[in-house]
Amino acid sequence: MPTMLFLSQFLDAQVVDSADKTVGKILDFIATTSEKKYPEITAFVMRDRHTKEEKIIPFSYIANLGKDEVTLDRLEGKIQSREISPQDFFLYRDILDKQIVDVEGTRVVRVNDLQIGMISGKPHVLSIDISNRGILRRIGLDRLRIFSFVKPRFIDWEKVQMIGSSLKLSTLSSELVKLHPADLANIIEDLAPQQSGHLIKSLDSETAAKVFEELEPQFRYAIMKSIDQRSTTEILSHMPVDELVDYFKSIPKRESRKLMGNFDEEKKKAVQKLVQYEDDTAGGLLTSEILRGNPNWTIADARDYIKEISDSFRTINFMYIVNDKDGVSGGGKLAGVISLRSIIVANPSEKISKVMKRIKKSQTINVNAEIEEIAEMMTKYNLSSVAVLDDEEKFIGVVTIDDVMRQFVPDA
Amino acid sequence: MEFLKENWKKVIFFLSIMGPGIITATAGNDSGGIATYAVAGAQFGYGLLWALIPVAILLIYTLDISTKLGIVTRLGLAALIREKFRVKLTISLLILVLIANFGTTVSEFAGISSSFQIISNELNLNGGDIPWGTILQTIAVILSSIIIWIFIVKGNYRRVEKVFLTLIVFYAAYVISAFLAKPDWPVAVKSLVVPTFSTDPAFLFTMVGVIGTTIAPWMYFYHNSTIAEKGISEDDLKLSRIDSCVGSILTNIIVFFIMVAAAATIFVNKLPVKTVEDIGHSLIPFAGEYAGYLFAFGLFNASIFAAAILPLSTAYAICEALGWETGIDKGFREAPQFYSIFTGMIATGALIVLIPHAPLLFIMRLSQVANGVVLPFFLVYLLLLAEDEKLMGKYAARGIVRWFGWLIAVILIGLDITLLAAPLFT
Repeated sequence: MPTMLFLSQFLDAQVVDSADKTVGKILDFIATTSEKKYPEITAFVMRDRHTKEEKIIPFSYIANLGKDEVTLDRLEGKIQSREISPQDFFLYRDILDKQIVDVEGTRVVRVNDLQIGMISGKPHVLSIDISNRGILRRIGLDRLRIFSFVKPRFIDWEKVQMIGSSLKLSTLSSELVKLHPADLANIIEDLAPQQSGHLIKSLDSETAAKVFEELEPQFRYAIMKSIDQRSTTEILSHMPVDELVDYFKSIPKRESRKLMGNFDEEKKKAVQKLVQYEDDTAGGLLTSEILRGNPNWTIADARDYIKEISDSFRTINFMYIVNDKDGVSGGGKLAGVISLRSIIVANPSEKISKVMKRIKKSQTINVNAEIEEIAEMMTKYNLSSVAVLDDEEKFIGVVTIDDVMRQFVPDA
Repeated sequence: MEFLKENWKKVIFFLSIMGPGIITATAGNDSGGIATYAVAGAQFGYGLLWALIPVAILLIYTLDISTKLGIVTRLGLAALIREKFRVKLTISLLILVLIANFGTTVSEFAGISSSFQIISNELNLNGGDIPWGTILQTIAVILSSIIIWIFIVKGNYRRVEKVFLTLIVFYAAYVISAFLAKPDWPVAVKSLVVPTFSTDPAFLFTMVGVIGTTIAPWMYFYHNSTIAEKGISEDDLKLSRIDSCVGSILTNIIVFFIMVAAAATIFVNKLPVKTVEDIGHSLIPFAGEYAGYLFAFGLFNASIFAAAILPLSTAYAICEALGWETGIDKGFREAPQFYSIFTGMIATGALIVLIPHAPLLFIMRLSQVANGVVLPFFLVYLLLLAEDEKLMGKYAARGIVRWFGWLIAVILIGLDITLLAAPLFT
């Protein structure tokens, strides 16, 4: 096995020119990102022996990369330092000892060392060492026999996500975006507020909204505060009304008023109406974004309607049929419900009012009903969701079994 | 009515944030602290009470820095030190912290043992053929270590915090024993506000000791890590600062009563005392046997409290610095190193106290020296972190706050070196 190279072995190494004269010492390595799998190390930071200045020297000058001494291919006078480009990042300053996301293990780990390897003759960052062996190497004890049982553990560079303020550090790894929002939320909860802010911001706002919903309540506000208001509004606009209501209830009034100002009238009204209910009543639990339909439609109409607006719903299981002169825009008396299955199976020319299941008033619940009552009704009638009526018996939303479960098992 | 309701809400909310500050500050009143304060009261009467006000200010200021660091970064102190000062410096600091904390843990178990010694001496349990007193002490140490272990390993953060907060209530034992000692209250209160000096070297060393025992690195590691584990957000910064402020004041009020109790009995009657056991024992003829038992109970409570927190603080510090999983909310399987360090410290700490003729004094002295050596570095690290604008943003220490911090550091380091050097001159 060829000997492995690590960043820690080169820090503080002497730099000598082609005449074997010491010119300085290595402070950092600079890697440059590109489309490639592993970032190439393109330069190093050297403290000049005479001027004490920090210079950035291209890696291509290096003739021999020894562990304690690095030899350049030219004389001291011929060394030309280069500028930093936006694609550059510093391995020692930005990565080593910092926290990084292990995407495969969906957890936050600390970088003990970086493994460097040659790909077609050029040095690249291959993986991060998160093992105790990395620590031993840093304090110069890794060659001791008694520590030989401590094995190195690497995470491939492709499977890590850097977190930081600079543009480069927040570029998302393709693996990270594939994670389930709940996993992303767990990672974010483990990070410092600023870092989690950066990570949330670098997600697209739809994913960010889903992740946000999965966060523990005490983290939500802190993270929102660490990002700018425009991003906050953007994320909130992708959240369903019931989640928004939960969020607004948990933050100071002046903040929620400020945020609410950015919403359109309809959403603002919907949120304001629900904010007044306690968390463990039907009003606090309900989802108001539900698919509504008109009893006078045909099945074909319903199908077209679903196709047209399906984008605005996360999931669709039922269509709630409302008797309302305004059609499907909200409010109105609940007439019945029709499952997606019936909509698919039924004859397209059939009227909805003929196919739908009528809902008796005894199978609905009042907006002020407490959670025990809702759970009892769900169990009694074997329902996965219950329609909620306000005091004027208008249909305002649905409590699903998920909402009830979350209230009973809050930490899951 | 509305006003009351609004305030009541605020109180409830504060109670949910409260914890890390009050627990840390009060735990600083551990067996070693009680011994120092009680001996100070016994030797110099009310003369050193004034020192408690500067001590409270020191504690409020340093815990405040720690609060801000914990909330803004949501990282423990050791992790922050690792990020800024890197592996080599962090590990050297941690080795000293480990030695210091281990020695202190031993002294907490010794405190548990002492508290039962006070009781068994009073009841004359060792008078007969069988040394019941010694047996009682042994059982107390073993049972305490097992209870602490189960409680932390099986508990979650919220529950652990609740029990710790309950233990704080029992510090009231010192308040009662101070009242039983019938001190001269007007003189005591006057001595608190009007400083008195003496050039007697013994007086000066005791003064340095009183100030020095208040600030130990383990407190800050614990404080910071629990703020991070509790997930207190920037919005609750104010409440969290109140938490540590209340804690610092509360702990000094307790110290006040400990010193007063010793001053009103032992000092007034010119009794020679050296150890905590002497003090507990000497209280009885003057303040009644209840005062002695209360003193012993207070010592037991403080010792068992700190015996749980010190190993926790150590485990947090080491695991955070080395990137291992930490947290009371995790189990043995999720955070094996965290719980191994915790278990190891409790087991060996208790064991050393149980070994007859173990070099307890040597271990405690070693731990004091290690604490003394760590403190200057630790304070410098703490202040450098606090003023790091990249890390702390708008909460970075600036201007007067920053200079006051360095002034405190210079004073504390001066006192610290005096304490370390003291044995060389006496």
